[in-house]
Amino acid sequence: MSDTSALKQEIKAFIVKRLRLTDVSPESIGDADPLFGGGLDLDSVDLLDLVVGVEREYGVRIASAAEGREILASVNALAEHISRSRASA
Amino acid sequence: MFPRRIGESPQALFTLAAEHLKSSRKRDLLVFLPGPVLFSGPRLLAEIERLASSLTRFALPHGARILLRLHHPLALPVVLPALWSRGFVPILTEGNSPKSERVRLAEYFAPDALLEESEEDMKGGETLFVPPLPLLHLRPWEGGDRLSLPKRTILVRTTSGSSGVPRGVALSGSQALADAHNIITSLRLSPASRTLAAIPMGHAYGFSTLLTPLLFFGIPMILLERPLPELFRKALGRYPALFFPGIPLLFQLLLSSSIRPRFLRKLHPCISAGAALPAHTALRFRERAAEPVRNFYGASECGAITYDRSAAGAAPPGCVGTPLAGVRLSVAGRRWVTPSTGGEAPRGRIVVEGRAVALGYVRAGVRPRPFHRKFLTGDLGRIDGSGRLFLEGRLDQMINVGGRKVFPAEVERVLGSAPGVREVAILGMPDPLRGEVVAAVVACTGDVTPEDLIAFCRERLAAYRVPRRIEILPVIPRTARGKVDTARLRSLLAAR
Repeated sequence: MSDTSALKQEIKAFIVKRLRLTDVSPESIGDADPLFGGGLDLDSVDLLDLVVGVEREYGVRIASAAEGREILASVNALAEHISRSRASA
Repeated sequence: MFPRRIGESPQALFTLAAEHLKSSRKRDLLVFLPGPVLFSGPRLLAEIERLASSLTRFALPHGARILLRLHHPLALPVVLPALWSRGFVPILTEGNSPKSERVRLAEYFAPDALLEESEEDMKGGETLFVPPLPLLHLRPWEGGDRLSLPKRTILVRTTSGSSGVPRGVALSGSQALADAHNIITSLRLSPASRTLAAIPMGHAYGFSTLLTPLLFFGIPMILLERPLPELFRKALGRYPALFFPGIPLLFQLLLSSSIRPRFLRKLHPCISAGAALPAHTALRFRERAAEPVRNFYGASECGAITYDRSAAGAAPPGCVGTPLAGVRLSVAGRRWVTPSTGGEAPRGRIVVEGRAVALGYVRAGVRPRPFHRKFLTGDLGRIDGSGRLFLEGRLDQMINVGGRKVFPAEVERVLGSAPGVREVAILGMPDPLRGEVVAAVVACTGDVTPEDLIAFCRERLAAYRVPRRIEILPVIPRTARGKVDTARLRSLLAAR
């Protein structure tokens, strides 16, 4: 498994745990599935909870709604952002 | 510092706000983050007047009722005074409700026009673009009997009614100012203070702790686009202390964030309303920030009621403090209880009297129901020997989702209209972040899945009203008297 796909698996497990999605298995989340407005049925409170969570877990600081929409669009988008931040650190 | 007596009309209220804004000397009376975008009083007034002048091209009658659906945080500080300056009466609704919900609200309140943030599929009407506000869309609304409002109304707040029918609360200018004045006096705020706005200002709580103090009392505001940890850091890095009206959910998010205690300490004073603040959240916040979160209690119909002003800010469970300046409190009822704190105290429905009590309930086609400066709440409570109010539940079965009221009847109405649904029971289930969430148990006639039903609700209800969980059963369990057996449903949901 490549580093990127391991990171994506980790992110999926993190989302399920952080948002207490008891009925969702990490494997059922597609890499490109929209996290909000899609099948996961997440609301604005989940979004804030996720923002707080990704900051603590991955050091990703989100400073505006637009940035949040972009970075948390999907598992792919979040993984890409984390990889880029790690590479430039 | 109570503003001088005002003429009771929307325009008189605008004039008062304009005088305050014009004379404000602060460069940063309103700061919007991210950005930052800074508004001095005169600049904010210029934005308000720009919007007001672009409203002149619409042929709306004097006193027009305008139903608002705006969720951009900067919208209300600009839009409300602009509407008042034209003599219009705004009707406030949830900013992010789905289209079907706003059509339903429009039917109940029969406004003259709808003012909303533009969406691609909007038809009819015209757009207004006054940056930094988002593109707005104004369209006339026709239908139903025009909403009858008491004289002096400058604003209508909408709340969920216990029967599922929304209620409007009409407010006069002096009532709006009295509510803010009670808060400012009790919390000892002044133009030297600054507020941190991370809650919606369309609700009574945000309106009276943030918006009215800004427009009429010159109290500067730091306004966050969203309650993101990074924006809290920016605000708290810039100013030594910020008055923070929060809700339990925000305090929980702040605690689970990596914001340093030296920043959290600047949230001073901190109050929490909207839902009961869990004791462990209050304790953890005090440990982390060395700053108490003080319980605060109010209602749309009468504004702020009580506040925990104890020295340590550590009220016992259920206690929401003592009445604010200008508020008279009593309980209606003859039942006496012996509280654990000792002594006997009357228990019953909480009654609030004072100048901040709204004019009354309003709805299209129905005569207004005036309060006459006295509001009988739906909350049950008792007052102890020290004058402290303890909340003890509600008369109805309201579900409190992160501070927002959901009445089971309104969800039941929507879910019950879904194809294949025979019977519905709605109940609140505990949630670690929101306090409670909506859950539903449904008996069906057809081949329906919980996912179908959730999708059905999402199209018709605001997100927080949509059941987070739906269980399908062959029949809804009932008691011997034929009532839905809520206790059994709860244990059934808990076991699954």
